[in-house]
Amino acid sequence: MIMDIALLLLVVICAIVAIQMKDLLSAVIVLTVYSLLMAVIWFVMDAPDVALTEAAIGAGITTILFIAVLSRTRRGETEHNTKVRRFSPRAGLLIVVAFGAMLAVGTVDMPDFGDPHAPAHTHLAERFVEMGYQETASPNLVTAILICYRGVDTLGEVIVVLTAGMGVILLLRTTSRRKQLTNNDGYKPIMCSYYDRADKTTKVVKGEIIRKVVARLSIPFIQIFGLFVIAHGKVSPGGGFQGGVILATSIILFTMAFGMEASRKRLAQWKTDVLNVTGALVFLALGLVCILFGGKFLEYTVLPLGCDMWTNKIAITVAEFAIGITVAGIMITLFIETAKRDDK
Amino acid sequence: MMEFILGKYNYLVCILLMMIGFYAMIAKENLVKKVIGLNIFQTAIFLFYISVSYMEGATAPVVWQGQEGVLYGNPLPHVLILTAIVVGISMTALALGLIIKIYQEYGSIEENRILELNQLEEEQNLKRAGR
Repeated sequence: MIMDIALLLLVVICAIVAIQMKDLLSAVIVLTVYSLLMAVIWFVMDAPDVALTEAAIGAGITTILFIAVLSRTRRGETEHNTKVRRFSPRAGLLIVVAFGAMLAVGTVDMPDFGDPHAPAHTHLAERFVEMGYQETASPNLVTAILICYRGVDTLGEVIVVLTAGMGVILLLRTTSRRKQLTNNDGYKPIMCSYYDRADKTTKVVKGEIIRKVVARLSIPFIQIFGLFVIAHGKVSPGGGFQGGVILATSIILFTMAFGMEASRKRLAQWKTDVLNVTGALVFLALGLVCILFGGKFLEYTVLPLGCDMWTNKIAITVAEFAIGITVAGIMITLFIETAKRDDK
Repeated sequence: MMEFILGKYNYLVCILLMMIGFYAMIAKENLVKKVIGLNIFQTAIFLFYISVSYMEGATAPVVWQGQEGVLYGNPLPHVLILTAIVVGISMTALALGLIIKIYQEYGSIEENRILELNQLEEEQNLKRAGR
């Protein structure tokens, strides 16, 4: 319990520091520490799946996206003295304190922390824990609920992720293409030559070799680990979301070590675009096939793949990989769209 | 009072974090700071759900084959939060994309500077219309 309280205290300190820092890059780094501590807290609270997701996404991808945005905008927080009348910070503090106090009063009715007889544990959850393994053949109950009991919800989440990815593409890809079209009058596109030159000059930079060698050595292992996490989502903490993010991290590491152009040569833009959609479509198709065989949407047991246990195992694996593909594709797209240089 | 704090300290920390994030969202001028606040607000809610799912003496919800009478934690909030984290990063990315666009348009990511530029433009438009 002392450990818990110490961790929670650290998290609160990190949150305050992240908000009060003037240097935005430092603030983002503190936010990473905050996320990582949060992952530790969740692991201590018996939620390894959530901890893994937060460690990969909150501490990994979020930081990279923030840093990419800072590199394209400004690093420092600058103050302007303007005539524009705005909400003063003091009024903000007042609202926040009042709101927080009301919420704190609301917790009086909550069951105590860790109470096994809390209402949250006594209705649906009880049944999931009792019957989950028998009905879905997935020892990891989180995966069982994610893919089987709440499959439609998960499909919806995948589509939300896809939509957000499309939003980012719409926001950030359009201008560069328009500029490329105007610049590209029969010659090699300017972007390409710019990066080729950049690549040749950066070879001289010291420390470059370390980055490249480390990336080259660790990428295969990261990818194998990502695939392992996806494939073992049934029996151990992990699954499509976490594994997909880990796979995306390997590509992001490659891009950071070898440059955008080299990365685009290995994994072209159209390929990631296809990947993004493929996963969601495979998951959707899995649901529709179940209807074709006379069941309900995403009711895997009607599929003719031998006994129920095997059917479930195969269906869960297919669904996990489908989620993994979309999540990996979208995370790569998000990184590349936010991190690419503005063409001048 | 002490009993209340010891019984509910997790929920109280959630509220504290939520309010820190909320404060950054409404009182900070910098747009990146606002998104950082949004992230803290989100994680506070996640922490709340995971606190609800926690059970004294339980273990992670991965079934041990051949073991009877093991108390497992509540897996349902874990599922909800797992997907919420992924949706959260998508939302953050979208917000950051908008920030890049705003910077390209205004050359600033400070809210009052952007408001000022908007006001100046409006005044100019009014003058032009007056002539």
